[in-house]
Amino acid sequence: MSIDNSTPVVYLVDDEFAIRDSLALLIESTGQTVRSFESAEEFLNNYVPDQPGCLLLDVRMPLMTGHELQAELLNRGINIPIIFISGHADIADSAKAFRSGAIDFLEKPFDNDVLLERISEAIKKDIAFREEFTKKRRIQERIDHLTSREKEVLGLIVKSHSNKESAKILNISNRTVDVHRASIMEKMQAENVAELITMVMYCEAAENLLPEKKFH
Amino acid sequence: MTKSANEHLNIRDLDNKAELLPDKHREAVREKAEIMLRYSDADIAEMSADNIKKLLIEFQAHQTELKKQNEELSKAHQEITESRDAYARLYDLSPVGYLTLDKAGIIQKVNITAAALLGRSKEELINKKLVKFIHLSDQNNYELFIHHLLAHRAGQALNAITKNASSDPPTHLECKYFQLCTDKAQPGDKNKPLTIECHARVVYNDKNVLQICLTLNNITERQQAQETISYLNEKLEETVRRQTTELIVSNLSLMKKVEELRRSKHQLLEREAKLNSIFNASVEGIITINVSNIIVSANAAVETIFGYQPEELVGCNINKLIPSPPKDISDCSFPHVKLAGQIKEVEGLHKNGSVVPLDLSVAEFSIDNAHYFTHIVRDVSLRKHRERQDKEHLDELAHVTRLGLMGEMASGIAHEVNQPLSAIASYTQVSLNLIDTETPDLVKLTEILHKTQQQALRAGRIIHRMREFVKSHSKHRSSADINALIHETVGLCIADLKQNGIRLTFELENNLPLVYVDHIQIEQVIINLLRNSIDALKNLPAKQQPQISIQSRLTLNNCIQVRVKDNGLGLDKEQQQKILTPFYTTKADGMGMGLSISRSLVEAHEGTLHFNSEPGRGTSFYFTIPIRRKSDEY
Repeated sequence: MSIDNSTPVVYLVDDEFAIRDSLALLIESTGQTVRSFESAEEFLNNYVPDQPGCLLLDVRMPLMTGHELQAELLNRGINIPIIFISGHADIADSAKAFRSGAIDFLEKPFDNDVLLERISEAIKKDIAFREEFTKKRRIQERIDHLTSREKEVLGLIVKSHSNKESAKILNISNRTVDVHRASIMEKMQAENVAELITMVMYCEAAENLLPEKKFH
Repeated sequence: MTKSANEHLNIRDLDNKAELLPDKHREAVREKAEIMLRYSDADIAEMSADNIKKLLIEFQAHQTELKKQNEELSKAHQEITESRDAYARLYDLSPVGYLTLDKAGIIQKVNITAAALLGRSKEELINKKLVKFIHLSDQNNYELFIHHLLAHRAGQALNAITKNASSDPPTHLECKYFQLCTDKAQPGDKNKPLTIECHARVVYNDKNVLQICLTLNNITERQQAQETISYLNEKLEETVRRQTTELIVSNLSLMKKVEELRRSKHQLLEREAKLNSIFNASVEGIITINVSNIIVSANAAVETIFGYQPEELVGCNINKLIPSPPKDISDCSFPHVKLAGQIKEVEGLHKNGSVVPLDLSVAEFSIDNAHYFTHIVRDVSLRKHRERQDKEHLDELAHVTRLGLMGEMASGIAHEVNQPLSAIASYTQVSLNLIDTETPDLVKLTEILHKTQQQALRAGRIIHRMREFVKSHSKHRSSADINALIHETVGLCIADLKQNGIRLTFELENNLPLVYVDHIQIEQVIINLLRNSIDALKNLPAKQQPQISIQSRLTLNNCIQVRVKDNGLGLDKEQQQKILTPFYTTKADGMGMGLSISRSLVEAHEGTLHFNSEPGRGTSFYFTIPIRRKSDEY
């Protein structure tokens, strides 16, 4: 898997034509690609996750609301940055949006510069996220290539157990632990133990990989 | 001797003749003759010549006297004979029938008239019993009559009879009449019995033999006449009786009628008195006019209403008081008939020139083919005033609640306004960006500016609608297409609907007749109902799609019905009971006036507001408004 370098896309979901039309014109005038959708459902059906981008999302829409779409995206593991645009300065709405990870919550009518700024921030964030994601994917792939015994040993290493301690816990010889350790270092392409631990911790945090669970 | 013989003869002759004289005279003559005879018989021979001579002279004188007497007697005899003939004539030819019977009832003597009555000759009758000639049916009567006659008279002297007769009833015993058989045919009627009236009296003849004298009178004709008369009398009496009965009957019924009339007259008087007191005490003006609209009478109340004395009005045209009757009445050729039985609102004219609102009802009556109309007018100024006040209060209340409603809706409407404003902001930014380029794309710029303008107008419209809605308006009713009104109203609620993710559907009947309404108030009603539905749908479980449908249709009784239906949880029994009462609310921040004011507004439009609700399946509120009438347009 490699990072997708194609042009970022600004997704726009609003049931109001005038809003879609004016914003599309505005955003396109800054040279960005805009894809507009009349409803959350339409967006879900047409969204291509490969491309980086951000989502300008209206809060109040018939059928699926902005909040509902946000929840659905989280549910589907789609982590596109969301900028809410609303005709309301409703504190409850905005709080809800931020709690669910929205980039911003803009009240209509908004300052176009702020909007454009937020859009570029969001796109940057998405690109960064995607890079990070790719990195994590690579580490995960390496972890996936470990044998189950190697994964056990890796777990103990990450928890700062010495070879001896590990051998004791796993009820195997020190020598065997040494062999596994060497294999792990090689498979994980780690220069040293510190790097290995960093890699695994990073991955665990991001991917919620909790190898110690496996020891229970 | 011869002389003596002659004398004897003479004496005898005389004697015979004397027989014929009345008894007394006859006796005297007889005595004289016998004296003379004794002289002559004594001794004529022995008598001296002188004596003889003296005797002779005496005889001669006596003879002369006798001759004279004889002459007188002859004369008397002749008179008697004449008298007897006259009597016999009289007897026979009398128009009354005479019969003499012996005590056995055998006919002794009969006159011609009696014979004729009995239809026999005298010879046939003499020595026959009279009873044989009497009609069988009357024979008993006859016998009884004769018996009574004889029993009472027999042995009594004629004088006594006469004497008795005076003490007895005027006539002798009598039988009214007999019916006698007649053998001889009467001309015309053969053997028809005649009716005879018979008077009888008992007499004794010179030989002292009892005889019965009967007089017979033919009373057949008289009787027939009497019968006819009595028949006629009877008939007359019967007729009289019948007519009397009829008269009595009709008299009774007349008396009854008189009594009834008397009573009803009394009632009439009583009623008239009552009516009069009502007439004059009535608060309502009562004005009677004739067919030419001329006032015939007016009561005291008209003075209070119109300012005129009742007397001033009599003879005036009704249009002095009610100048312009309602159009539909004045147009019609017989205006008053059309009015009968209904109450119309009209404008009256007071003496001082002011207009008095009136309720007018008209009743028709006619007397002797002349038609009259009684106008009853009630001054409704107070009521009008109160109605106006009520309406003003309602308008004020509606306005206040509209302000509240608008407060509740403000954020939604702000959202609605923000949409175009937001779009405008973006469009203008794009425009500015375009202008900033070296070669601005004017076509695109124009297009964008045009779009900007559209959005500005749109925002303006929303603001205008909102301002109209909250304005304390005094706009009167006008014609409206209910569907257009619904669409306009929904415009104010779009934001709320959207915010709550409610799907709104329209089921509006096409080509509905117009209604005549206060637009804003009807909008207010629709908004209230929509907002109620929106609120009801907030509690809907997340999985269920909230829906509201607005329907309009024409009902059978020429009303437009608008229905706002949601698929919410519905109302429970308690809520259903209280939902239309003021200040009842299920919302935390609600005032509880929405439905109550909506109902008042609909009712002010002569409509009704109802709802039905099924717990778990939703509620629908619906109201009706009558379609526009011709009378609404002026």
